[in-house]
Amino acid sequence: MKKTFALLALALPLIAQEGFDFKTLDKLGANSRNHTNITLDGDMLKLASGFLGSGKDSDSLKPLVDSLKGVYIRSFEFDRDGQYNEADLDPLRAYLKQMQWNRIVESREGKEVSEIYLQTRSASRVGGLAIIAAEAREVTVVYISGDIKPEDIQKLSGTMGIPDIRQELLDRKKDKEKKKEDE
Amino acid sequence: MKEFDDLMRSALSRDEESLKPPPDFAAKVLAKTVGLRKTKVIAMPLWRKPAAWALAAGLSIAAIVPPSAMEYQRRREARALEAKRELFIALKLTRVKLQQTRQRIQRTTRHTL
Repeated sequence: MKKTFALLALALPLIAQEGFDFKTLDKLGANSRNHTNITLDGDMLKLASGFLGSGKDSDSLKPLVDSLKGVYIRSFEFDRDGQYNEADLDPLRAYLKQMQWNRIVESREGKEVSEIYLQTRSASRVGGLAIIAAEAREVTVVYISGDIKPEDIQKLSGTMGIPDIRQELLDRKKDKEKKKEDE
Repeated sequence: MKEFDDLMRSALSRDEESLKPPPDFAAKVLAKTVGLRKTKVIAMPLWRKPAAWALAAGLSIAAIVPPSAMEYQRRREARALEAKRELFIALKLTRVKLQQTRQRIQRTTRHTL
């Protein structure tokens, strides 16, 4: 019996390392008006990296993308306040805590919450970046795992030749509206 | 000496009689030929010939493989481009959220100070 418990205790961290199930966050978007779900695992990132093209921006982006293991985004927009339950974010918070990610930023301003987590591996290496941003009518979760240099996070604050997201989101919205009209 | 020569000559001389074919030789040969003509030749249908199968297989592969390979490549490219688009959205969203958090912290810090 003791042996079983010991084995179970040893296996638990391994099970935990399997990764977070992002489907648990889908509850958040049950009443959402718009949502952005992005799941890019290692294989998809490799595929995308091969099609980044060449140029100054792509050359600087490629090493970052190559070192990533997964990129997961869940973003939901709502018509009215209070259409999601903030407690639905708790499993992710618990997972990050269990996996010893460090919450380096926590900002609460009324209903607006911003949290930034880093999985530190060494002084110069980060194993992952997670952002939880919750507002009255919008909630976003960003989870990036992989070998990230602190300067890469700084780079992310720049444009890096990434197309304008607003335009991308507008295009997506138009596509969805067009699909709805077609249906 | 002459006797010996004559003896040798007669021994080595061409015996025309022994070289002549037996009288029924021609008849025997003709009989054999007729027998050969009578041998049954079985015509194998085309579909049972291995060469025909090989040719058909080759043609089928030539007809199926290039379009399949092109289709696979086309799908792979489409997936890669979609992944690239999603990656850009993800990185842009990350950037926006990092900036918003930074601004929020600056704002709240200013308020506190």
